[in-house]
Amino acid sequence: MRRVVVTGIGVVSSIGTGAGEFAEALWEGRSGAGPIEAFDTTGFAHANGCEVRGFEPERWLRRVPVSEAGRATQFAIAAARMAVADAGIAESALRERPGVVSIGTTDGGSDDGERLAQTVVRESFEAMDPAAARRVPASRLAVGVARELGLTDVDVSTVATACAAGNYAIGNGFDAVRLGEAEYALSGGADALCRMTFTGFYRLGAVDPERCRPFDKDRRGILTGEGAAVLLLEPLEAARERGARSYAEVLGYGLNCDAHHQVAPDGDSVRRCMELALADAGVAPDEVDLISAHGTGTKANDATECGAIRQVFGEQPPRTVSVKSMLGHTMGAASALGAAACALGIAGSFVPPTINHGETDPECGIDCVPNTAVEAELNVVQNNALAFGGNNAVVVLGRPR
Amino acid sequence: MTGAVVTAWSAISACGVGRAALRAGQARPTRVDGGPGDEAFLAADFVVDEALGTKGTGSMDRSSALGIGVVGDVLAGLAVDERTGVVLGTTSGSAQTQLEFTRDSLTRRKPYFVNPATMPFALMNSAAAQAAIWHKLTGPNSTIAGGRLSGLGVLRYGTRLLAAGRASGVVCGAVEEYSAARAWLEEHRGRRGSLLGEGAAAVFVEPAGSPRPVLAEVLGIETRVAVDGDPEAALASGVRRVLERAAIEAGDVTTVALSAPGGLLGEAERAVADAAFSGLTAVVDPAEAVGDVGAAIGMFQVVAVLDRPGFALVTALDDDGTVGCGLLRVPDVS
Repeated sequence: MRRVVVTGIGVVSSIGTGAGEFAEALWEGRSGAGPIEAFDTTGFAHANGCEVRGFEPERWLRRVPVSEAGRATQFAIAAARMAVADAGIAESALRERPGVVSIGTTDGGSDDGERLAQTVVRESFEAMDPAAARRVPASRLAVGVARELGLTDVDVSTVATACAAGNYAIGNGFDAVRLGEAEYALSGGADALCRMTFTGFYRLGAVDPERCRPFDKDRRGILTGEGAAVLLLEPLEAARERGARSYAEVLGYGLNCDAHHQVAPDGDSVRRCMELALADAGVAPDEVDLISAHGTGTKANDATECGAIRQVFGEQPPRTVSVKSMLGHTMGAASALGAAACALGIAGSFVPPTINHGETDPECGIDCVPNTAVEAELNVVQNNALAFGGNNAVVVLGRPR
Repeated sequence: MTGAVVTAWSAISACGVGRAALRAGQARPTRVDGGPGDEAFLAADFVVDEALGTKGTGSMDRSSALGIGVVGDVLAGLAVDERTGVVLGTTSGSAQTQLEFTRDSLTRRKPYFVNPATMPFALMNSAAAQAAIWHKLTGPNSTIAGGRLSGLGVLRYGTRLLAAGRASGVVCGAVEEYSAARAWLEEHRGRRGSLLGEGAAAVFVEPAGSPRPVLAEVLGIETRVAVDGDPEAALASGVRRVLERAAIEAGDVTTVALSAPGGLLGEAERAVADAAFSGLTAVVDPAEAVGDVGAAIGMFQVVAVLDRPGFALVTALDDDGTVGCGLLRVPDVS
């Protein structure tokens, strides 16, 4: 089995674009929250979210016509382009070798889908916009990346495991490179703000009226967000040969399913998933320096997840942060952005904070690095992801050596 | 070589529920309302309340029900363990559930007067997750949104899980429901395949060395993205590679199963099959029996070759520009 490293990071987010700007925003504890403008929020008592503002698709889409790409696809393409440029590898070099493009998503082209639904409600099925209909299939995300970068010899997959999809996509790319099935992987996640997701969480009473405050005793839920992160994964040997910088090594990952409930996480199963990931990475719990939690900021998630963490790590678990406090819940992009934050934390020797934090909920019982980043040498970092449907995935990253 | 073998399968379609019904191949289209066409190949014999009961199925989308049904049928009689996984393919999940959710939000007195119970069913991972909940499958559980490439995508993802030691066995399947919402979306996308159909098909894939009789070995899967707009050339290159890797001559291929996307893509698929293989190769087109089942077609192609000993090639093309093929060897057990 080959060792696999992260050599490029691309990010589109509400707090910064590109690896450098994103790292700076994480260090500063920037907040991406603000009133949602992506869709009409009339009738909702509150509607804050973490929207990507001022995104210019024309800057990133050169081969794929902008009109053929939905917003999530545009984000995925932009992040992939940035990851390749960041890795300092020529697109032509990627075209010559077999690769993987694996992009996770919750909603895919649902933002177009719901605008089409609006057409149906207000007019008719016949009046649907054909261009929008073609943007709906979720496969467009991963395929869009391949088309844009001119990658022919690729295994493309859009992984639709809801809010854990980013980690699933990274795990898939990691396995393909590790097993020698591919020479590189562009893996990550992307989602655009979508009315359906917002409405669903709102109806469940799981949207915070103002800000996302994970692990806080007064937390009231998520803020929906959007964005993308894509990592370029390469075999360690190949990265060394071309003198590439490695942010982090992917040490392993784990995935399992609660097989229990559609929306309520199962602590025991989450514990099991973390154990699978650590075993795959060959890491003992006491070697983990930082956990990037799923940390949505809902009552149920944070308590359940922290309980599972304490089961694995004991009553003094490593620092456990939630970058969702800054980014909101970016759905399928969330754990990809989390993994990018972990890799940047390892490379920059710092722990991103959990912002908006007042008082830690004793039920959570973790050090969430409230409000201010701290400098720290990070050797092993664990990135958690949980999803509706009980789809869990945990990725473990380490300092490259 | 993936080292993985197929040891069980099932399907639900207009032909009926289960293996025997599909092999009998007797399907009649059903009259449908609200779509652009007035007939579709519905899986009319699959009645959710009868198959799954009424508990927990009230708000359930048809895709999830089909997923639960087909996964259950594949696993019937097999011993599963905590690392048994499920991977299902889809286009975009249940278009009808997504439409209705948005419709409720737009038409009710308050935009949040939606039924919260339907929300998880509107997500694309619902079918795979529901199958896991229903059948208590705690292993890897994933959903690949691959359109018409879903069959190959799922098979490759599933065999990779096995190669990496992440699962003891994986139900690899794909599901597509029929609904007015899907039919209209397909119509506006300029779909050119046969009459729309709904269905689900799945195989159980496990590492070689299983004590169960092997129905097929999965020899290889190749996919391409036709970035230059030439799907025929891209598919031909994939076919060459998959045969080369398995050290097999084109003349050794006994069966080709088509995805039959219709239109120019369908012509490209036929052209590759005609150019690569001799007249001795049998060509099967499962859509003739089950209709255009969208993302599910790939798994119907896979199960269609399981009773045809020899080397079988499954091809796939999607109008998003992806093409691919999978090579299987079906042992002669006679």
